Amino acid sequence: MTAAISAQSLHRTFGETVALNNLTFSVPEASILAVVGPDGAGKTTLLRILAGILNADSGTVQISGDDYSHIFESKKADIGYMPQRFGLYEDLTVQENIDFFADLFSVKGEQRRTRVQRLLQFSRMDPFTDRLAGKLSGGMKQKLGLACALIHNPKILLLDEPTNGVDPVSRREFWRLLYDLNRDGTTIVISSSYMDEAERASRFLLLHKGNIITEGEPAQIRANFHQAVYELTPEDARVAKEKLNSDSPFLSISLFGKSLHIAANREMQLERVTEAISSKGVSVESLREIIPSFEDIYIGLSQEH
Amino acid sequence: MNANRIWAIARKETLQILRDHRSLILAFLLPITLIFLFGYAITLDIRQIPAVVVDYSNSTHSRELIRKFTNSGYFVEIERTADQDRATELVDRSKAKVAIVIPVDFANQLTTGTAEIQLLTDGSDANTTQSVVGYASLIIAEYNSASIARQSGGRLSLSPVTLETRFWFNPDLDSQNFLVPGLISLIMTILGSLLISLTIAREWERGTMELLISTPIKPLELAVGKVIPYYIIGIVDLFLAAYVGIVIFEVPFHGSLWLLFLFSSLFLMAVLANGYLISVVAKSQQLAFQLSMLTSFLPGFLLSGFLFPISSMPVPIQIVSYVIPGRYFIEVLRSLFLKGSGLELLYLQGVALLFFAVVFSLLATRKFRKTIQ
Amino acid sequence: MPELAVDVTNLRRDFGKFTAVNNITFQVNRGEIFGFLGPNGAGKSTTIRMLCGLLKPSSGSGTVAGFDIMKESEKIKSRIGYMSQKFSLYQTLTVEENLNFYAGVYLMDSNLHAEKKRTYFAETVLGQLRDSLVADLPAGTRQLLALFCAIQHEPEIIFLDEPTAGVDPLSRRYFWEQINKLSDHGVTIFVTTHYLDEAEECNRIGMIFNGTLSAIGEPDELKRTRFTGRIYKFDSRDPWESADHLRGRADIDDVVLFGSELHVTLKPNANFDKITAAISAVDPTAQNITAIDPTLEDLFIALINEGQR
Repeated sequence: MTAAISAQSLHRTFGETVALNNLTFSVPEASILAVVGPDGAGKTTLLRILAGILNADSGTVQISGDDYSHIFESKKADIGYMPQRFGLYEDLTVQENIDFFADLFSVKGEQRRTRVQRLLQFSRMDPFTDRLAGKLSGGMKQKLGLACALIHNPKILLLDEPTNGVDPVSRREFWRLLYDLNRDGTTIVISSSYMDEAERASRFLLLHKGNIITEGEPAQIRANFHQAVYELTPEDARVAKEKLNSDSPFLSISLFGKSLHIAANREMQLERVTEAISSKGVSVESLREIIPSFEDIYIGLSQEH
Repeated sequence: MNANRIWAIARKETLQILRDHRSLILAFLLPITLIFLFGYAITLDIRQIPAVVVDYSNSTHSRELIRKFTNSGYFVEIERTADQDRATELVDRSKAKVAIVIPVDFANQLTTGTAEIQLLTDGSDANTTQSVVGYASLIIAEYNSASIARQSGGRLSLSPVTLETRFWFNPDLDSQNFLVPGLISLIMTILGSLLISLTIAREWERGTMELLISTPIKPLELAVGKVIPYYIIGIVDLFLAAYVGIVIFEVPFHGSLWLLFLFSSLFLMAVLANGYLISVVAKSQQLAFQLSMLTSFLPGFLLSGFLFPISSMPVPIQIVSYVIPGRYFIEVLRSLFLKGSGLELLYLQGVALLFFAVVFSLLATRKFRKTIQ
Repeated sequence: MPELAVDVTNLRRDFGKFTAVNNITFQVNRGEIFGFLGPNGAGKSTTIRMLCGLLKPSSGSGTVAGFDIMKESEKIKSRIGYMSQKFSLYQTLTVEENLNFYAGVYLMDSNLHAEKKRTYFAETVLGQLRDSLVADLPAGTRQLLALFCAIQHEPEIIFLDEPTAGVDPLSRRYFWEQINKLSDHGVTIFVTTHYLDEAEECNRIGMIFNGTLSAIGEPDELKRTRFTGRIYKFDSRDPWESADHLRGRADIDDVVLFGSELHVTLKPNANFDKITAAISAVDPTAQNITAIDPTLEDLFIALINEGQR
């Protein structure tokens, strides 16, 4: 199977800063890739290069096996892009925005009518066609953005932090839409700073300062993660964290609500972990090993870099 | 080039203009305001000039001459005195703009044909002085011919050679006839460059450009689509301004409407392409606004010959004026309105305007990058 | 200092015909971290602005830091710190210049301010960035600076309106550590967020929907008392098919996909055995059907659905 996107040695600098450092990765067809990383990791730069609106200094991108750089413009019809900032016209209505993008992509006739209808229903925007885009709520704006990015039936959908500042309900609904698209064969690349969104994707790419820290399917990444993570729910998690932090034999101790997640080397046996914790005067009663969440993996891997 | 995409851009742009009250006001209210402002309030014609009269002659002839002055409408007698110092004082204190002094032997001098009168004006007000001298010489010339005819008792048909000034194409020296064509050029400059210069910058500022350049739109399609609505506004404004000028201010129009349309289109292309170029370069509305004021509005106002005759500018500035499209357009408009010139006399200006339109358009489309820098 | 940092009764705000906040009554204790949650447009920002004295309530009464919100808004402003959703920092000033500016606005003692800056610069990345322009900072760092600008004058209460939107997980953790420290020192924190995992860190939370306060209490307590359904998860080879089938059932409230995992929320009266049978029927590959604890997000969504019915 050819990869939907395949990037070789993508490199991009802005002045002195290396935004992307020789990235090589590929996205299989009909998969959902989550690109996750802190601010300035290069997420937006990467998506912009894939969308063809920013040039890489060196390296190549192939879309469905064709070298992107030579057929730059013609490939744009295969790609739907949703920038991080709301890219639609706030002084146009929902319908006018959709029509504009339909015209731009030369979607005509019967095909256009059915597709617009389907997208409006699919995004549940049909009651709001006459509303100005600027008057929509955050979640609705994102759904409209998605509808406009889909008007030309792209094979690949690039979404740059689409759920930022969107409330949990709208976020869930948005993901449901993404799953529906993915089911029909659309390849989706989504950048996010929500770790739980990374868990919803079928592949995961962790960026840190322009480098790929880890990439692959979630199960694979979990299996390769060489830290063991323990959960501890003491009386007062923050006091316990302070105690454990001094002269700690652990890789990291992070607060998750009222619990602590304690990461340790795999080699360190449960016995020694228990010992180390009780020696600091913290009760080990609630201690248990857990399957590391992506947030744990993220914390673990980004601290190594 | 894909007509669908051009249409998409043009339609979107039109909707945005219609929804943006600021643009609408700028597009239609500003031209009307400007034309009435210049037509009524700022007139270059000076009438009712306050005059103090010192008539030492006090003869029928002198009284007749004074009557000629006051009946002309250009002068108003505010005081008559026999004291020249008093007259000088009035002029010094700007109570009067001119003192008309008629010598004692005026009547005698008239018979010998060497009559002289003295006009005292305030030279610091150069405009008025010029008008005073101009009007006065007209009045005197008329007086001369009338008195010669009378003296000969009507028998002498051959009058002595007198200076006869005739102002071609604007016989009444009406400044509106002169201003309105220039004003049309100015209005189209403001609208063309200002409105369009904001559009691309606005898309960058609002973040809509990032999405737009991710589509298969071509730079030329974007440019053409964006220009169309502003071109239409420009042409509507042209005919609006021309209509107000012709009907309300009674500016004569001797030329052909088709030529007016043709040359206005050429000029609009040049101005819009210039505005579009600014817009592409600027990336922020504030900068675009400043740049368009600097590069099109100010030169269009000051160096195009709109108010200040180019021939009386210093040579270096005259040279600069050659790269200002407004210069050519104003020449064309004045010719069309007042002379009714045809294409055979205006084609050079046409070529110049076409040249600007092409150069600016090329620069703008070449400068536009479909990538984020 | 009063024991209640915020104490409002029947607070209401109309914008024309639209009621943004509809007679809400609640208290926030001193030193507590209070999370204020709700969908976009539910009235969170309007409430915060009223509490900060930036917006006059249409009706209602109450106190913030012991001062009357209707009459003493200027006194309130001097006791609180406010970090708005939209950036209040000056992009063209440096990190330190921004701190200095806000110190000036709040008439801070210069020795105290110097000490604050020393601490901030020593403890955080801002130390290396003190002469950088704000425009050049990454979003997470900016938010941290905005937080410091809001708290350096040692306010009794700080209001944070979506302080971590768009901030990456590590910066968010650091941010919350700072908030916890402030709370330890007796500062009251009133915070809104869309990240419900953050809300778990709050002592108490309030949920506002359509301008009405639907729930208030400790996160665990609310999950226990207000979440009436049960949630089960299982792995599936064909999660979409299964989801489609299960969504139609009357005894199922919601089905959410997480990659290859399905989260199924049962209605309160649903029979678990019937459901497992149904799951096995539609999806023979279903594995490990296990009960999971509801998260705040689950509760949030359940309360919204409840409100819509």
